[in-house]
Amino acid sequence: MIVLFTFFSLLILGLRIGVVVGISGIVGIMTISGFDFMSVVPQKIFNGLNLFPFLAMPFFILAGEIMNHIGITSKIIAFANVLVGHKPGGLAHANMISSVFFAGVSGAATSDAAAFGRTLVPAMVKAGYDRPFACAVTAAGSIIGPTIPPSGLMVVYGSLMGVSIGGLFAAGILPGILICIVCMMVITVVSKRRNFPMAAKRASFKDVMHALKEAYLALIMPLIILGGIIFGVFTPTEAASIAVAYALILGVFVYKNLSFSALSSIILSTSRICGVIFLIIASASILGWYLSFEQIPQALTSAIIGITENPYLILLLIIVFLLVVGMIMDITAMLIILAPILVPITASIGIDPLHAGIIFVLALNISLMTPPIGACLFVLSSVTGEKMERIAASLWPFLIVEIAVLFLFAYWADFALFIPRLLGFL
Amino acid sequence: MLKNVKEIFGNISEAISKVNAIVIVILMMILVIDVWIGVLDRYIFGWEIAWIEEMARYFMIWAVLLAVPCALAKREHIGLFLVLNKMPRALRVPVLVILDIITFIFFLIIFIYGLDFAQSGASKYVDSIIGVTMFIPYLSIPTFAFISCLQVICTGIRDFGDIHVYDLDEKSHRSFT
Repeated sequence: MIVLFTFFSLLILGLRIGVVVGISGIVGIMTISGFDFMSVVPQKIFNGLNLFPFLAMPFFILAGEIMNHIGITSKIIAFANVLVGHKPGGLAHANMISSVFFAGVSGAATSDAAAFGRTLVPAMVKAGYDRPFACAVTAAGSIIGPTIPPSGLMVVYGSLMGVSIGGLFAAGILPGILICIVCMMVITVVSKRRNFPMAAKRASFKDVMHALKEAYLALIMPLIILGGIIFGVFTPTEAASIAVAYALILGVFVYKNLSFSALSSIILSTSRICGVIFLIIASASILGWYLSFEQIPQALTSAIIGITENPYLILLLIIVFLLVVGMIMDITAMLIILAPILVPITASIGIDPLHAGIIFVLALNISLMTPPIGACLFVLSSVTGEKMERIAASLWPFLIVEIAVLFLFAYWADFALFIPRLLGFL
Repeated sequence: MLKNVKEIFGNISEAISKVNAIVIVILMMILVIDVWIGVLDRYIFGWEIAWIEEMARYFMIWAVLLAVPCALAKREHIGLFLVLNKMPRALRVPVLVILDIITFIFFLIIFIYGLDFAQSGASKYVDSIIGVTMFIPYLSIPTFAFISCLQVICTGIRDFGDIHVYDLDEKSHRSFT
């Protein structure tokens, strides 16, 4: 009880999440037997971080930051535009397709939203789209990046729960692409009804080839990473280190716009992002030790099973819970804290941990763009100067179809696990 | 006078960060090269070097833990600021100071118990290199906690109840793929 009180009161007051979780764990340890067990604190921090798969995370972030720095974004957008620009709502479609191409090199859902908000939203407004719609399309697309692998959330989940990261990556492909398809359907309907502009004519084969020539070096990277991991050639960590090497080669030898000092500052900002995340992971292993000492996940599981044994209802409750917490808290932090508590519950109703991972990642990603307070909306609103409620009003159709995709993958396990099974991860 | 004190501690924080940053960048570079050697070893040369993976883990732990105080100096660690942003200044200042004190206590506990932990490493050996103890890997815990304590003191005095605009932009919600 006192641990719960410590956790929520400090969290609401604005203490940093990493410290909130750690202090709550320490308070919990003190309730067991004063300072007697305090020596587990440094032990748990060290052991909590001492996992080789975690290494994939700093490397993927580093590769993404380097790719951003050397100007890959505009090349990807230009290529997407020649592919779909001639359709009704052409630029909006290009926005979605760019999100898919961008997935392999992107940073965060929120940083995707910021990057596209700065580049694509003004371009769309200039072409005659209304700004709230342009923002809504960008918000809807920004969650594709962290769903399609490589995905840091999946690395965290896989490392913590001992689930195959390659399997999670394989399972992320279908939902990512499906989200893109359903959102493009929404764009088509809305664009026809509201008569949004399209490119005057279809880009010629020559134009497509020209744009592809500019962008293919960026498009190859996700193929190398995914192909390597999914077909079992590389481990995720190795693939991530190769991604770094690839991005470096592009920056130094091909585009020639990556200086040593720029690289140093990219490495430093990557490390700081990792410092923030790994403090939460370290602290969560302190709290996790206390929780498992007191057998709290087991108690929670039997309490929930006591209320209802209907697996569909339990899954529904978990999804709604994740959608709500993801709106107000950092989703990586939430995944680190909640996965060890929720997985025993989902396991008790027969959901495979790999399937549970995909459900969690999808739900948390969607929560980022859920009104009224999803983080992607905040970012877009601040980058473009558009009011949140106006973006939210244009966003609803996208949100509904994305949540529909989430439920499809949550309740149809065979479909969700189709690719992982096909590739032998299950 | 107060302004001078704040400035002095701001400068100390920055100086610590600068040294800290250089060490992190070097560690990260070694880490990347270490894993590259591992990949080359596994797919091309077949030297079967035993220490690659274990060393990578320890370098990573050192690098990311040292990044914790670096992010502290810029107040980049994520939190929930909805309530804090709405508080009147008269209430916010003491709350922020108390939160800094709690943060300090947190890192102090890790530092104190981390010293014993590091010592315990002197009698354990790493798996892949004969004769090397776990003292250096374990030393990462008290070291990061100590620098974090310093940063909490310096930034606490530097900001003394001021809220950071930094918290309000997208980085406070930053996540990653």
